[in-house]
Amino acid sequence: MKPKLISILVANIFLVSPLAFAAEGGFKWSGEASLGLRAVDDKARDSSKLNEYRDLDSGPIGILDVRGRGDRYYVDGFGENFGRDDQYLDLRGGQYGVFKYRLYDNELRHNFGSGAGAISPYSGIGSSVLTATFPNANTSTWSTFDNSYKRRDIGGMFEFSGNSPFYIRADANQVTFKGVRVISSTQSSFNGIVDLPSPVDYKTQNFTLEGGYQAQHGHVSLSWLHSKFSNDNELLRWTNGFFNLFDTTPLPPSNELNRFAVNGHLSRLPLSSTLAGRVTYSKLTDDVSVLQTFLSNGVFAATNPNSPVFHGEVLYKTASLSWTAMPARQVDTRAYWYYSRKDNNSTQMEFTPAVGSGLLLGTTNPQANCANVAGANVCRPELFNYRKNNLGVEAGYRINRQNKVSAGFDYLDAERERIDFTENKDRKYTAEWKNSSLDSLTGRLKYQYLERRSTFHRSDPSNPIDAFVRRYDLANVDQNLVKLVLDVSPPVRFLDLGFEAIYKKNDYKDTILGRTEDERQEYYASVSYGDPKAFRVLLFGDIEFLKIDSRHRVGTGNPDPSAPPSGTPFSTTYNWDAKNKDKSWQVGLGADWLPIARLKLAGSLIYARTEGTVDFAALPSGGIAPVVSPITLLPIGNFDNTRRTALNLKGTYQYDRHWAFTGGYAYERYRFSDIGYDGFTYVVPNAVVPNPAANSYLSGQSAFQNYTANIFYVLATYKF
Amino acid sequence: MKGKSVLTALASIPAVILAAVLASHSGGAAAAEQPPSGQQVKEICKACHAPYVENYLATKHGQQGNLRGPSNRGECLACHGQNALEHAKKGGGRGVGGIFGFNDPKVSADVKSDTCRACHLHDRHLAFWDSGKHRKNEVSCNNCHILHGEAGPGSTIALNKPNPSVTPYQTTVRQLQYETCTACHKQIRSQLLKPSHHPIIEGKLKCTDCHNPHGALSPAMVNSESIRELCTSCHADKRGPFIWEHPPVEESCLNCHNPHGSNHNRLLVEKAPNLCQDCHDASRHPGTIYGASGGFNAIPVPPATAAVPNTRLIARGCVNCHYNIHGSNAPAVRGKVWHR
Repeated sequence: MKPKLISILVANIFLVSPLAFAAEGGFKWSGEASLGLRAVDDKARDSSKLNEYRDLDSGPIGILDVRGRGDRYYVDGFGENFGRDDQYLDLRGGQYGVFKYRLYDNELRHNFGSGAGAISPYSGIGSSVLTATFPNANTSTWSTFDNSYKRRDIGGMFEFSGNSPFYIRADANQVTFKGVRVISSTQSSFNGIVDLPSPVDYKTQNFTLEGGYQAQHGHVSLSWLHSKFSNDNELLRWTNGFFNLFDTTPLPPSNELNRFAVNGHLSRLPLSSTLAGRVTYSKLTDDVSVLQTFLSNGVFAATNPNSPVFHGEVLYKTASLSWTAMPARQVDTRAYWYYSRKDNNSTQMEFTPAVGSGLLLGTTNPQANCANVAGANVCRPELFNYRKNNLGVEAGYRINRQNKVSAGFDYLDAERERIDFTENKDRKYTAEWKNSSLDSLTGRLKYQYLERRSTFHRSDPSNPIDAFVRRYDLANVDQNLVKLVLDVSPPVRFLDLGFEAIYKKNDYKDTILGRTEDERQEYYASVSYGDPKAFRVLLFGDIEFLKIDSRHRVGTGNPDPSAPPSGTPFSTTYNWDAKNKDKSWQVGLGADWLPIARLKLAGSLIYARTEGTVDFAALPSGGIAPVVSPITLLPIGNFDNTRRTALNLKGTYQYDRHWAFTGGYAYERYRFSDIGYDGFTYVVPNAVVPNPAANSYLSGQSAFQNYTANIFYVLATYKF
Repeated sequence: MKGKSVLTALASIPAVILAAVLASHSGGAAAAEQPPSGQQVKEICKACHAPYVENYLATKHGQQGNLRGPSNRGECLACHGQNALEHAKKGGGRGVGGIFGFNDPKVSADVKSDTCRACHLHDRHLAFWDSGKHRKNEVSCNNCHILHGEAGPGSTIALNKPNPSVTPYQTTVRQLQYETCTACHKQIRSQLLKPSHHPIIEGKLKCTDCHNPHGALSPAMVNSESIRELCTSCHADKRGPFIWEHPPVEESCLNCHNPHGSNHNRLLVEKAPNLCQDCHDASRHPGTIYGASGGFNAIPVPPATAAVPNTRLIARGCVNCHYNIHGSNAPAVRGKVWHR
């Protein structure tokens, strides 16, 4: 019934619009159609990084852009990359002030690391059952597969207001993902990992209905969203080479989301103020059959779930209020409140695995770990939920035409059901000064200080080290941020200079083990010159430094309850720290030029580099330095190091009023070096258990990213 | 000399037309008090600003059937003010006659935006403009929109593109929105060009898919009530609900990902295993040093004499084993540690 209704609506849009256009005198069509060829020559063992989101296959290319304009009606149609993986179609139209519609199709293929050259010891790729015979180190016997999925988003919208303040709008779209995505798994504790080419057959159907009233002094709207996500494969069965049995991995669960929202605002209130608000209520549900065992012979069985089905039900509730006012001509203010809450009404699962199942870790907290509480052997997931109140005020004062200062205060109080941090209070102070004293210079300086204070609980009382761990997402932090923005317009016409600098430092002051500090420095500069009707050029340069410091503890034992970080270090139990640095910089040069009225030239060049490093150091404690092999502390010098060159040249010649011809050339070169991929092998022997059954089997995803490509294209365009 | 006089004669044509048009509706005292019709206003302005008027007439603004548009509110005067007539009478020139110009740096952003909002105030899409960061930072409509411009290919709205494109080869010819936004947001331009990024420079996503530049009540003017809701509107496979949730994932995807771009795969803010170790850093294997000796070109750590790559460092790092890091429905500890 529903598809039939949708098809009638769609047919009406197509039928009604041309009839309406025909009835209207003076409706003018214009547009252009282009047809051409693209040739791509790439040198790559695996070209998927080059084709990550682009379909660069050699072959014909086409573009169609049509516009219809009438006194009352309009229509815009656009399409490009017809029949390719990145096809895009868009049709919009309507009657001014009365109705409007849109239909679209937006496609892409996301190519992952090893694209069509990926290999796997498994057969059955694309289905939910992967079988293999292990050990198998002979990669010539492996299956080849296409490591990518295709995403297609088709949808439409119709809105009717009939030149009245009332409106009603319906949106519907369907997003499908089809293909293969490599996931991975451990085969057993410490016994080999496997890349699993997992089937992707996702479908998300969204439908939104919205209606409301909009007028000069305010509006109110109500909307309902229904979103249904379906996964055709919720379980993946695969051969576990260590046990030589079928293993099971749960894949994303199908789910449904319903959201109701009310938006509104009232303007022109006293003090030139506006009051705006929004309330939402969302309900997310799923139903999952709980696995009794992972392995086909029942090993790791007897997890004994208290319910055969997990009924997931999560409610998200939010309310926002914002009041802005200009009590005086020089003063603008804003006060806001944002409330959000997550209620988790899902089934409270409990598992009681057998002691011999290998699933118990012997601690006493059923949420911190699967606990052996007085023989109860209980695993109990926490039903994570939270409640947040966020309040803030901002005020700006224009001292004179050249100077404006503003300040703000933001307060967040969050409570949550989480095992280590149950509450945090964040206070954020901001101050900003904008100056334009000089005709040619505008500057903005911003300072922000954030203070977060959290209530910490030891997540696992049986583990002494746990008392010293602070997770950085909620650990106490003092944050300082400075931002400077300069825009310079010298008295030379068409010349513009820009500069931006950002410094941000997080000091996790009370953290003993965990991320202790991070710091960002970012600098961006640009110079542009030119008249868009003749010649324009842009040169920019960016450089960013990111530094993350962390402190850790390695210890023997499982866990090691006898070695809090202040203890005397041993050769196998000691504290260490890591200094992770990311540096990235790039320069870009772009220009477009109209040397003669009929010829337009455009070009750009980008050179970009990223460099990542990590230094390790073993730390003394109690005045004693641990004895650690320097090989263990060997620094990493290639943590996602990349170099990219991209040259892009294009010329368009306007032959006459109707015909234009375009030719272009692009060159791209990408080099990748990383400690996790350099020297890649598909089969990795196991260090802990020197046994072929414990081998790791990889697919090559992300391993061969280097490419060099030359792209040529020509296009003939007819304008009407 | 002869050529120069021809040019002078040609240049004087608009002035002659302008004078004729002005004379035509200043013929009598009664006519002088009568405001010019929209058609007359267009003709007056067209005498000197023909390309702008032609472009305007091709836009939604210029359509007579657009009852709320400037075409039914005095045409050019609707935006440039009644002083535009005085401007014409005095022979034109930048700012002459007190004409309202959107490029006048002396006019505040609020005044410029209010000129647009005089008509668009009833538009619900601008309902939260006052609460948004753009208004606070003195951005006006004309900073992003070209009111007289022709919309680029595949676009229905003409956006400002102040700079030439600097991008790798694109398979789209559409005018991409990010080029307008990154003219100011330089930090974002840098991130969009990083090795790991959403397909924004490829034209498959727009800034407005996630942000509302016209104002929102949420931080960073995002289109949803929370970052998690925003991200899972596309990544619905990460929605759950899960038996075993990963709390930082539930609270904000930004704890681990930078949606604008990153040096590291999967838009991660830091490379694994270090990212994971920043939280899971003591007891059992998370507290172990995964240094350069654990790569594919592994170096044995004495007393060992043979070495093999460390499966917690190579490839995806921790996610090699803990794949369902966004949440798991596997029972017991396999789900708790997101192994299955």
